Amino acid sequence: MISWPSCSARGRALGALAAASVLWGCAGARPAPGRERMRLALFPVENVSGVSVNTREVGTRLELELRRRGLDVVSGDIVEDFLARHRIRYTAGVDGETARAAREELGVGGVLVSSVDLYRSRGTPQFGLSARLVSAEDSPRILWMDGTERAGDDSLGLFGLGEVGSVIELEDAALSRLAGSLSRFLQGTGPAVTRCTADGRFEPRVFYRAPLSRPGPRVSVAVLPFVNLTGHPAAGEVIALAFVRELAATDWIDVRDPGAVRSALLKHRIILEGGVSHEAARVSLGAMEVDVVISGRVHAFDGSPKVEFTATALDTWTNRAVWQSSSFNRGDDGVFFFDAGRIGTAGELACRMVREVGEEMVRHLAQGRSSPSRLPAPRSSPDVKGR
Amino acid sequence: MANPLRLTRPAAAFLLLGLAACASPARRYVDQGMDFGAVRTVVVMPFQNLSRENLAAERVRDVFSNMLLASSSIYVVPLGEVQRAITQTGIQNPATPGTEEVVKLGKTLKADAVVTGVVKEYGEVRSGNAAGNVVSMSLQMFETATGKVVWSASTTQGGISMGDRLLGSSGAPMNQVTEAAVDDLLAKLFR
Repeated sequence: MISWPSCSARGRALGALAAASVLWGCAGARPAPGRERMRLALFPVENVSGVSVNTREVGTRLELELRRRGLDVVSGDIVEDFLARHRIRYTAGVDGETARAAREELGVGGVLVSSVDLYRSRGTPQFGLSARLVSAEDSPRILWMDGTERAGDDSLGLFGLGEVGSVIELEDAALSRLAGSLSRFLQGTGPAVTRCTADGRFEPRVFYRAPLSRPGPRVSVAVLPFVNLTGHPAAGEVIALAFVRELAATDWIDVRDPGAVRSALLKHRIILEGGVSHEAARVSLGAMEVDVVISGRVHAFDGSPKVEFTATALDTWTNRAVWQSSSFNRGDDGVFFFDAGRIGTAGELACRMVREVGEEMVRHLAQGRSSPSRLPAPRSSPDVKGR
Repeated sequence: MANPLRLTRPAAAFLLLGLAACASPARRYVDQGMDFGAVRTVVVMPFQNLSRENLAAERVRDVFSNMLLASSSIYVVPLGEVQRAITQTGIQNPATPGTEEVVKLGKTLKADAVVTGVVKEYGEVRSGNAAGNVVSMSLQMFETATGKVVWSASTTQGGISMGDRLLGSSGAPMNQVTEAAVDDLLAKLFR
């Protein structure tokens, strides 16, 4: 015979457990204080794809996606007037002065900078977009960063049903993904930085490492532009941004925004002719107070896809190299059957390669930190670059 | 009955002569008076490119610098700093610096040695249906105190193997061939 009272007690207990778990789940969904209603300035979209793109249209559609998710965005003529008033032409980054002016004049808490990294409308369509939210403070910080890059034949599926035939479809998917990611971050439910997919095929083949001279609990890093030796006009910037994204995902590394780095280099008239120099390291220490500068040289970046680069990290206190690595990979490395696992775009390949380099570099820097009790926390951001 | 040794001796001598002819030359020069243990910091200059590939010299230079640094026995001055020093000291042809320029560069960068190189061949070679990647290069090391050559070596790696001919494969990838060439040179340097 069934004992009804005990059953009901069990039911009540289960109900209470379910309610508690729902409440627990909701606790994680609470908006981060001060971020949920953050007003954002949307800067014009930069084009680093190397081909002609209607970035104004991409910007408008990005704005629509953000507004659809209830975000408070300042854009269009107001931002254009602001940029004209301050004679700002470079909109792929934010330096201290621009951030301060944006806060005071536009009343924003952050600036959203974005760039079209890949655009191909003929043949197999390809589209790539990356964006980051930089705080409107005197020392701007990267609050959120994400990116996506896709080719129409990335996931063909059964009988090629998964093929995407138009670049507009890819663009829509990318805009929706990035706007959703930013919205979730501002609500406190999403990660600050979404990293690329971990892929052991793309580990650096040769690398050198040495201990930091002044290890501390936190390490500040400036990623300088990479010297571009390829035919792609923005390969150096793409690789540098991939490093920024990878390192910014570690909570004890402070990565300076590329806009602030560019401003410091211009101010001190530093030209990176053949790679990172001691002078660049000294200036970075003096102007940006960073412990490590990272730069390198890009030898190959093409759509086959094939990517080759060298990365060097200098300790700014000693001007000695603490890291150097060489990476060379093709999209079909480690692919044996039916193109399974093939990478279709150079940007995605570069992102995965940089992740492998960055992971090794972060592991090395973590070993040299002064306080072992503050070893890097488990990464909250997902390992897979969503599509 | 003939003595078997009488036939064996000339045969052995002929065999030795043949083997000596087949043996590859050492393809390196080492200054016996040089203390290589004292070399702590090295400058790797831009390599001269004699191949058809425009970026071959820079690629090989990057791989060589990195592998030399990764050996953890010698510190390699960052390439950006080398470029800056070349501009500062006004060296006209960085791939082939003169004795005085080597000394000047050593003082500017506080380096013990300067390495220069020539990439003679870099790319794909074909023979019938078979193809393979090949790298041929030579390096020289100068002592910065005197500006004289203390070490020199050359290597050729890759090409078309018998297996490539039989199977029609395209051989090892270019980066692996480059690494093998640099490995060979480093072995000759540290031997």
